[in-house]
Amino acid sequence: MERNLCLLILFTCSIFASESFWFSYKVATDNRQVVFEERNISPQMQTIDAKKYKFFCKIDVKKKNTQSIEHFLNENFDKLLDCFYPMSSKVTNYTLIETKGMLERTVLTIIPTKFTVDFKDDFANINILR
Amino acid sequence: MNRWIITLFVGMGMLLLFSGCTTQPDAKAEAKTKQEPKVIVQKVNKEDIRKVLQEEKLIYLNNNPDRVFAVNGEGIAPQNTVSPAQAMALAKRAAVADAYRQMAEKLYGVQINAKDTIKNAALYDSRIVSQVNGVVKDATITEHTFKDGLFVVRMELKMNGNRWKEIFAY
Repeated sequence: MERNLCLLILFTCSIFASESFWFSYKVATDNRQVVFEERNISPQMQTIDAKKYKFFCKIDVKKKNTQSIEHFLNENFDKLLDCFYPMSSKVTNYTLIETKGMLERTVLTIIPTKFTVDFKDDFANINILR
Repeated sequence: MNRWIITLFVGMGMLLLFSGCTTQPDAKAEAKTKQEPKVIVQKVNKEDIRKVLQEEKLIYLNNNPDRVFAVNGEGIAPQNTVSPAQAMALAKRAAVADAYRQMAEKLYGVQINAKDTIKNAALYDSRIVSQVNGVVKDATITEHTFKDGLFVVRMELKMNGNRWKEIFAY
């Protein structure tokens, strides 16, 4: 039963979650040093018309033939992150100044965004759904 | 004799017909025309009015109303990193977060709470808490430098002046 369920999930993933992904990111800093980081790139389990996606940015790196898209995105995460920063970043800051010292905590969150990747001109074109 | 009398009557009749039957002017209509002055409708182009007002220096029009908000975010590399590359990457993350905080400060403002405790006529405790919350869109990193473990990014946000007034001017 469990095996069948797992096979069904894998089968569904292979059909629907082809090139569409979710992206979200969270970073927390204490006194301007990173103390927590959470990055999420996950396949999207929902089919959306490709025409609804609009071009957002380009990653100037060629993908290897044997490489999967997910692996490619994780490998070039820094460039992908630079791409997604202007999208919509929520920032929360808490600064406490006491007689003993101070603590400055900043949490930056990029809200979950749907995106697709295509390699039409060898480079990765990121298309997002606004 | 009869002919003269007939001619006289006809002459008087003609005189009455042409002179005595004149109509009096309508007083109401005359009063109405006096009350309602003539209205002339003339279509004027808005651009022409703006041009005239600008030439006469009655208004100030800015043709380039884009506003630019610029901040410098700073991030420090942690000491317990595996490699210099990792240190730089983490310092950049911190610098970007700091730049976004400063941008949110400029756009949304800061909430500040302060509390001082005085005991026996002396300052016992002082505490200042400042908070910033906001969502920033379309801010771009224009410059970045990494020197002596300090990563500095310059972030800019361009916004149309009219749009800025709608959202943030209060």
